[in-house]
Amino acid sequence: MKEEDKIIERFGKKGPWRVPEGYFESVRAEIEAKLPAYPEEPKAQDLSVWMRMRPYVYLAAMFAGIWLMMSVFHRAGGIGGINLDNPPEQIAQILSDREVSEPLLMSTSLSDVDLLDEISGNYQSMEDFEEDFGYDLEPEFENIDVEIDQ
Amino acid sequence: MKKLSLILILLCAVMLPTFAQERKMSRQEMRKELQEYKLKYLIQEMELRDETAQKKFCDIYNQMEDERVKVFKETRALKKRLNSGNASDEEYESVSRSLTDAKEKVANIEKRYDEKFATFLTSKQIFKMKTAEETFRQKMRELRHKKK
Repeated sequence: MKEEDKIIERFGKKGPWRVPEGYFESVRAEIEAKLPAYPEEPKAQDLSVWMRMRPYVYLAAMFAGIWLMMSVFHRAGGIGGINLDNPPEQIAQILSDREVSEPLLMSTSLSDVDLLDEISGNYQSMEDFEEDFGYDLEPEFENIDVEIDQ
Repeated sequence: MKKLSLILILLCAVMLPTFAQERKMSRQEMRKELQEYKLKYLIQEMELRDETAQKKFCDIYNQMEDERVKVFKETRALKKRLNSGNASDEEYESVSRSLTDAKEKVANIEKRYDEKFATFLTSKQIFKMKTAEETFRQKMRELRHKKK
């Protein structure tokens, strides 16, 4: 007879273990009671107006700083204006720019012919010119007969 | 017959964009158009609504422009003389004097024409014409640099 058969003969096939009374009903509540408290998610801090604006203010300050720096270098380089304190070569260089010199030296109708010549070379249609010129002629004036003899 | 229709359709397809294309003006035409635009601009700025006055203004203004252009051309010719770079001090002096004379000539022309304008325009309209001329000049100057 095998050892196993002897054990079965003596104790039978029925398991000796029993679930305590009401175990499954209470087990969940007991486990839950023993668990540590669930950590809460940290709450987002309320940002003040200054905190919200701060990055933009810093950005603006940075650009202002760059602009100021460029402006200082520009002045230090002596470019950008006619001043008797500047060396004569620099004044001559500035005056060679027509944009600067013309209003100073030729701000009369004497410069109109040159202007008209140049602009008529730059455009090939009145639509383009009028768009760039940015002035609206009212229909009443747009249709006036102003024939010019060339 | 089918071939003929196909050729016609193709021909139309080729020709249409050509017709639709904006007509490009020559420099001379553009110059004329700009002068006409300037007159219209001045008339609108002056609020000159009477047709007879508009016509008279155009005629007289064009005469004045012709005289101013003549002075300008003389001045330009003088300045060209100095462009060679070998001009003497005397030549510089002479051209400088001529430039001042030219400005005086233009001022005299404008004075003379102011009297003509005064016969049919109000003082306010004459003033507006002068400020409009300056604004037009300024805008043209801006355009020149913008287009570069």
